[in-house]
Amino acid sequence: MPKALIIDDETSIATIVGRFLENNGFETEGASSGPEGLQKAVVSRPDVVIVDIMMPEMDGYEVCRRLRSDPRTARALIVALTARGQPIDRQMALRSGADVHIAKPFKGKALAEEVRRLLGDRLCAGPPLGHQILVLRLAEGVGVSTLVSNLACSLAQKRGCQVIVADLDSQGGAAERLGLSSADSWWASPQLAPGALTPFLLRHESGAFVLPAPSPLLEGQVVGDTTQWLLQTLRTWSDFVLPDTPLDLGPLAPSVLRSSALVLLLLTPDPASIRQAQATLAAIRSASNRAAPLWAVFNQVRPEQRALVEEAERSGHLPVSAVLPWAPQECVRAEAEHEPVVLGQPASALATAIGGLARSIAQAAGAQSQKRG
Amino acid sequence: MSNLQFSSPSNFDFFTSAHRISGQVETVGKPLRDILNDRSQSYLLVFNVYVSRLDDPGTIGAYAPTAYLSKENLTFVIVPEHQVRRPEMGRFASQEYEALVTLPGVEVRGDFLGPHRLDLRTFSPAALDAFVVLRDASARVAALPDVTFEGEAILVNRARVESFCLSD
Repeated sequence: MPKALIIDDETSIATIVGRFLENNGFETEGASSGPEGLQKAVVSRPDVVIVDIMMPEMDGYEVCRRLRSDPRTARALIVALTARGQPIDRQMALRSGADVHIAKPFKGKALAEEVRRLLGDRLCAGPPLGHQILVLRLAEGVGVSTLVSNLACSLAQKRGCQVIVADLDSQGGAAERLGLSSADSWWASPQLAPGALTPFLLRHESGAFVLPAPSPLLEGQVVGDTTQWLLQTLRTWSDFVLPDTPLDLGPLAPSVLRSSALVLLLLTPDPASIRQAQATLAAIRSASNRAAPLWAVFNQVRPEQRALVEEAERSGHLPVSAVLPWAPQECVRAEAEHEPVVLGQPASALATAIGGLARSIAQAAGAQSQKRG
Repeated sequence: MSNLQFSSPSNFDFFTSAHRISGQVETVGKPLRDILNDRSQSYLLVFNVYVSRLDDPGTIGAYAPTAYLSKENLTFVIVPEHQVRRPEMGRFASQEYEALVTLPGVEVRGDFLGPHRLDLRTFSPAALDAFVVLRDASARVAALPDVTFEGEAILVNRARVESFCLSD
């Protein structure tokens, strides 16, 4: 039975809305203020939150923003109810994170049916699992953490997606690129439960979340089962999960590969890398019975190396999805300022190329979701 | 039960030259237009008041459980049709005009029902009702041309009118 949380300071309206939803097969609970509603949302994880916008203590826009910025509640369907029914109010509600804006006065039965329909559309779209994008490298120094952190920012800020970077590399990965760090580790929690992860999720200004690596990452401790559980949990909270993995996946490899919707193979444009990439691609395809699409991403490409990339593309053995230009100055500046190039230097050729890759990923994920529905 | 319509008791959007004030008025069955035009009361008591600045009209800047609004300082009020008494067609309301009314910082467009022959007294603040009705109306903030406010009717304060442009 789907769960609905109704947050309205006018308890009479909350009661009546609740009754109509119950008649339409919902389990309901009410909250009479924004803070109370946020607390209840975290505990009961409702499928739908109906939020009154005009509330004294905390207005509904802020409630919507906080629901969306907490991965535990970010995926709920949010319906904004308000006596303010002007076009600007609708824009405000949608910008704050609501899925739909309904102006008062409204008909109870129509509201309940609309909520049912919207929720039905969501359920038809398949289980609420995000897409896991694995960036695989064949050698050190090809810029996996840089690509992961830039893709996360681009998908979160420019595409409005819910993104979590799972930092599994203790050697200074995406979290460091984004200027985020944590003294504590989720790995040190006494029990591995979803609720134990959330205090360690760090929110970047782009809207992306980062789960920093267990520090230090003890060799062999974060094993396959734990990684699988971790990534599965994060996928229920987000549209995209981007693991930032160490060079040698070791025991993590099967679980990470199996659960990935897309693998980006990051390589540099030299003949040895290209040969190694082709061999890796063949190995992955023969080893996995559920082969995720694999896209090659060439990084650090100088103008004189374009011909080599084009030749690899023409050969048909390596599906090239992006060519990232050689941009040492931009990368040094981004690292020094802890600000990815897509945010700090958006006009640069590197940012444009990464933005294009993020767009392709978002489009491919959308097509995959439709197929799943 | 399925046809019941739920609303807080009569919510309205009031506008002054710098603010948008949303709140509830206990109308006790009277149209808001009559309450605003009652010259024996200078102020209007409003409950559950949410205040926004006109340059950022979607953002709620302040809340108060009650407020007294100065009727004479309102520029316009957005109301549903049933909050406006529809006048009988007659000497003072015989023809519909398309109206453009300019108020401080705001333009309001809508249908105005007026006498067949217009004269200066039609628009005099001293004459007839203090608030004039424009139906199927929209208001645009001059400084924010992309922002519009729409309503079945807009009550415009005659005392705040800068120009009243009419066409048939």
